[in-house]
Amino acid sequence: MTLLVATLLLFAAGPFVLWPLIRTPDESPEQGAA
Amino acid sequence: MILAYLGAGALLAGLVLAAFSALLSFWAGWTESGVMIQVGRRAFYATAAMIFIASVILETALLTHDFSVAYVTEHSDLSTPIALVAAAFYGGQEGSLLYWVLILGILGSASLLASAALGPRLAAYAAGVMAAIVTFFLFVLVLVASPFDVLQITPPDGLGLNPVLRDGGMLIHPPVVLAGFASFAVPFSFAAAALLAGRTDAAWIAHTRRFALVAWGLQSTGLVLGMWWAYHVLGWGGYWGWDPVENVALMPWLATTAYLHSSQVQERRGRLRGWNFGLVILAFLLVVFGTFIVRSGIVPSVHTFAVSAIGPWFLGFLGACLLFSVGLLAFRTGGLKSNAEPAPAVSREGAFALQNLLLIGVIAVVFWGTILPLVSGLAGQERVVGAAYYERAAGPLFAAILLLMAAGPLVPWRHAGEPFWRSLRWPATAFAILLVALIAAGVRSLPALLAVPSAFAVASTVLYEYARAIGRSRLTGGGMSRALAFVARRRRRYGAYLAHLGLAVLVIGLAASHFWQQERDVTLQPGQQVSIGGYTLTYAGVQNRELADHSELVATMRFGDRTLEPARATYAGLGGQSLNHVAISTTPVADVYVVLAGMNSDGSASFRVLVNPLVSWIWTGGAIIILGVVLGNAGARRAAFVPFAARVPSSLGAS
Amino acid sequence: MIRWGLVIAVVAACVGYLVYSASGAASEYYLTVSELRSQQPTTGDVRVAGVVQNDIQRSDGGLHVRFTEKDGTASVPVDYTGALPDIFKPGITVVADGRLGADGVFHARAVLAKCPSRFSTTPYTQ
Repeated sequence: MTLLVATLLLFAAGPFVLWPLIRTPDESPEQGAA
Repeated sequence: MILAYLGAGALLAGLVLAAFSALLSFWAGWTESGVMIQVGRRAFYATAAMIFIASVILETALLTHDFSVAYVTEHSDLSTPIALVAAAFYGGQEGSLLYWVLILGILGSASLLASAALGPRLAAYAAGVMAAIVTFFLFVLVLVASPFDVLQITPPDGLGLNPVLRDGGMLIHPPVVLAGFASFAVPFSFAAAALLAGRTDAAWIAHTRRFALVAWGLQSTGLVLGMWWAYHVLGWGGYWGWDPVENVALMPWLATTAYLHSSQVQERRGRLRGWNFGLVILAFLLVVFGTFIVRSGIVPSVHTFAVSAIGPWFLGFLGACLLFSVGLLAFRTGGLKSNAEPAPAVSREGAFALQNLLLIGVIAVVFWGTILPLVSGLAGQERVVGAAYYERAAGPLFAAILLLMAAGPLVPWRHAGEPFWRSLRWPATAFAILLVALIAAGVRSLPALLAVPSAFAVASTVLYEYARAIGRSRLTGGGMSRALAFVARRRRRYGAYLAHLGLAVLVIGLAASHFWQQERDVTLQPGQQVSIGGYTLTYAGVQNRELADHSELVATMRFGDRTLEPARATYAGLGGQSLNHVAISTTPVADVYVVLAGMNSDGSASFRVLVNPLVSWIWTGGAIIILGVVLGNAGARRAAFVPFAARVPSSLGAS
Repeated sequence: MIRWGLVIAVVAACVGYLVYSASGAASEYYLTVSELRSQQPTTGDVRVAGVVQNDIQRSDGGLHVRFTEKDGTASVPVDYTGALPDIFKPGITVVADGRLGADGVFHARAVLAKCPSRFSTTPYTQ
């Protein structure tokens, strides 16, 4: 049950956390921007 | 039941995110991958969000009396007032750990949001360090001491809160002190990040200083609140017992005090870098040490500590932090040396350097006193020290620090010439006047003869500096408003002076209430009197009052036109547990402090009566310190002087 | 540079001296009741930790008390004059600071009781 809740929360957080990757998939990783 | 699973799930998600953030941030910082740095940082924010969710859930479980959660059952019951039920969040082992990491999540996120000027690599490493610390705490919270453990059978009521803890002080003091402890992790993380990134220049200082100030402010407030609570509630007439719990709250504060001063030398002259990094790191190491000591039961303390399962984990964490810090400092020791010429000994820089030494000395004294039971126990028969040790060993150091505080603000940065030695006559005069006055009044105690005049010297220096500022404005033809504008432009400095003044007031309060406290134990029949310290109290009689869950025996003492009502409350439902309500009458001159010890069969009542001079100065001084820090740093965005890097052209500065 | 090193050395020596002399003069042995019983009476005050038993006798309006401290196997009567901590009652752990007299009674000049625990994980037993 705990694992289920944790997994759901991680899925919910995923888009927020990975947004920079989703947003710039084709740009050079050497952005240097904060 | 469901709340417990939601909470545990949030903590687990937070743990995963924290570990991910730590690993990614370090890697991304190394490779300077901008996108990955952002991802790592967002993972930290998400971790903070998970911790926040878990906290909300725990608080909800408490407020809805969800006794299926073991923590709720152990720390509250249906009859506990709702404010204290809410406060149970940080009142128990697991909850206080969650609170600790909640504060770190919030402050850490704020520090990252504000870190734009630092450069991505440094910010990434800082995020990594903070995420690593959070990972440890969440690991303990998820796997070792969870606030969301569930009871197989839900009991109808909880165990409740001991009446001794049922006091307003419980609401305020612990969360402030815990927040203070947690907040030292932020400057530490940025210091470690700067060392990792090889950026030992002053850019790091401005950002770190702000958060070191937050930590220092929180800890100062927590310490004074703790003293206030001990004095007003615990009923022994004192406010500081040099108990391990108190000592571990004091030591990081001392280290940060040193840092806040010594960092100015790095800002202006690029020197004392090693000291600054060392002090910030030391503060956090002392916090981890303190957390270990407090939660492991390893030294005898007035606060009961069961030898709990988390002790060994915190010892391991302390070891890891120590290795990491020492390794880092050793690795970067080359970059910490400064090429700037050392200033002459009698200079502001020299004063700050001496201050560092003295404060480290005090930390060493307190540290030794705290671990002596441990060390002596390992080597043979366990020994402890009491207040006398701390006073004898740290007292002279404190006196030296006070004298330094009286002279320091007056001494210039470079060459100390005629004007400086002339300006010293102000604090010297104040010192001399007080010394003579005290000797004339019959005071013969050497510590008192040192402490009080020194504090007045500190105060006189502050007033002199303010007078000089006003005088300078007047000279250029401006009025009071011009003078105030002048001070406001340099508010970091004048706010700090105000804090010095607050400390002087506080020290005078400490000295007076310590050296000139008077105490008497008396047994009185109704109508009889007791004389103490110039006050005459008349015992008027007792009354018995019945309340909902306890009965109260209330005695009435009169003196002058004041009435004091010390009382003893007895909680029948808790096995006759009784509680003292101290009666205190406060004036700026002294507190009259009465404790009802008990009733006798012959109708007389026994009391402990104390007269504590100038106690209110302690609380007032504390408030002035906080005021000085707040006013001095309100909205201060730009530096009040040209930063070192811009001023000195040279081969140094960069790593 | 030598000058600065000298300053550090002087301060360190002062601190070391202060710590040494103060802890020599002001430290006390911290004993359990069994250790107190089994050892020769030492000069100077000691601290003894034990659990308060059921035989508390108060007099003088609560300003004087006699009780027994016990740990595991050994017990010792304690005599104390002064106001007691609120939490004081049978079953509480206290630390008495004082001296064991020739009469076998521990004369305490201070009694410290441990605060009710905020941090002990007292599991709820069902």
